[in-house]
Amino acid sequence: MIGVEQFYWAYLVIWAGIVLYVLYLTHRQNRIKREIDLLKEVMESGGK
Amino acid sequence: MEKRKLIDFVLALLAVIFVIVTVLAALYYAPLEPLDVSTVLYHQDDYTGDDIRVKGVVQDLSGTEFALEDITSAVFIDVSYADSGDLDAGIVNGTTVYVLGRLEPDVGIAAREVEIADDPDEPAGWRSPYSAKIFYFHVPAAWTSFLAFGVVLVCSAAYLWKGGQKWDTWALSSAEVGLVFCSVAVISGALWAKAEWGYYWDWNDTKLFSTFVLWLIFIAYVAIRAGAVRHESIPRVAAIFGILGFAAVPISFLSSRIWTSLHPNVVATSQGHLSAEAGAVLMLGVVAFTLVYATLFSRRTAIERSVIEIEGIKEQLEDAE
Amino acid sequence: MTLDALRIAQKDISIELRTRERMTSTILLSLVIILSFRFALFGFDMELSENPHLVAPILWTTIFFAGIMGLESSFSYEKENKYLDGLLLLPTSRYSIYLGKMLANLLFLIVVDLVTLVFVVAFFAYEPGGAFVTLLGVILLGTFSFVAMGTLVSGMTIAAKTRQSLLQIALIPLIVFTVVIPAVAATSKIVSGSGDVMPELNILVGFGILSLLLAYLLFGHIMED
Repeated sequence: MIGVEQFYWAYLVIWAGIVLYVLYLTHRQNRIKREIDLLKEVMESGGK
Repeated sequence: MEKRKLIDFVLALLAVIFVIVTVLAALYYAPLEPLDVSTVLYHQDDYTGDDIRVKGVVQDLSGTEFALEDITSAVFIDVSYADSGDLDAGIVNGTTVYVLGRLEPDVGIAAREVEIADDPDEPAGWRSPYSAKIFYFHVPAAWTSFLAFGVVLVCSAAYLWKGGQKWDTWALSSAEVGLVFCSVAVISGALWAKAEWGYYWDWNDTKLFSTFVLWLIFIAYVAIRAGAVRHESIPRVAAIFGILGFAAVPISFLSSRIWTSLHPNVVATSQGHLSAEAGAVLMLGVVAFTLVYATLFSRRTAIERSVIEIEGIKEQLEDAE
Repeated sequence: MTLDALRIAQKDISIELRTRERMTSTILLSLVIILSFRFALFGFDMELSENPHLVAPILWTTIFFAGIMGLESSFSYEKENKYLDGLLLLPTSRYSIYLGKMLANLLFLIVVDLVTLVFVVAFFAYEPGGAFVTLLGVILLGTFSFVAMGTLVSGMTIAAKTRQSLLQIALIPLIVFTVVIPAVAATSKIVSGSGDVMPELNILVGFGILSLLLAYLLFGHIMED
């Protein structure tokens, strides 16, 4: 039937968009966590 | 700290559950609703001459012309048919037919093809009925983006009025997450339009245009904040821009109700005639998307708090040196 | 308040008269845009002469692009020479600073508009004829409306100390419905000699006044400290 493909395409785009955003957020969160750990280390070693 | 993690986890879990339920319901339970079919068909492009498809009952069949009583809106349309020799023998007065053709200002419809209607289950007027299921995600996404931009408005106003970093963090996070949902709404809408109207985008349509402008405004909002060194005046300027930009939300929401637009109006109008099942699935979708919004918002604010923490540590380090 | 605004405008104008930096670069940009249109539309002369109202989008695209460049440099003299704090220390309200800047920008852009109109007439064989005065009125009001919002937003982007390209991306979506579309619609009506331009003019004037009001409410917040 006409349009079924478009429906699945739209479906894919919607969820792919949201999942990509979640992945992007996770990536940022991990990077920031690493940065904080690093900075804390620097601070501790600087304090000694 | 632990409490916050627990709330995040519960939110994410609820969001996933509701999303799965909505997807299943939209695929297997929700009916293929004809939305506001008359607006979909009749404004269809006197100017571009794109295809239109009308289902109706043949009246006054004579030679190469007949009148068609449109089933969905009970309007009579004149149809001129290029070559009567091609007209199917089964088509007589009173036959239900599909007419595929072009809407001409003088003639009515210049038909390319007349078919006898043979699929009684297919909702009248839909060119591609299955694409109607996009509606169960498109509308919740649009609604969630409006909600997110509303949060930007409230938090921006609170930031200007009371100050306090948390308002600014919330406004920024909400704008970014809202932009994701707005993109989803715009792109899914374009794909539906391709299936149903035959083209992805119509710049003459106020609903589409104003939503696009809304999208641009919040791209600008995120761009103002992105990559900039945190400075006293940036949150303030962004807050003002967020308040100015929110003006596009009511314009986008109301545009298809005030001006003529191809965009169907289903919810919150007198034209709305959703069946109970469709309404239930739509509500489910709204709840699911709002939960997804809450989850993403919470994650985004956590990142922003970490960024602020990093800046604090860096300042401490600089002071120590 | 008005007097202070006039003095600030006068300061900007006399700087401009001495250096002529902004004027020269903006008019050159306008010429380049018009020439790009002219070259890009090579071979479409038939279509252009059949649809004379096509000069309206060409005219306004040029005005908006050149105008944004002019607005970007509106606060740059103070910023580059670190005079912005001096300007803010003046014993006058922030709104007078806005008004002064706005008046100077308006005057500056009107000159650019007129030159652009001359370019359009020269390169697109357009003859305004009897509609000349109405056309001038539409250009004037469109520019007023554009500058009223544009000065506010350029103040915002300067205060945010962010990259300059932000002005376009922040300004254009705010003026699509309120300035761009009505100005182009009114101009194309005048050029094709049909239709009443009053509704568009009302929108332009209304939005210009709304922008002045918004600036009154917000410019103090933007230019704090």
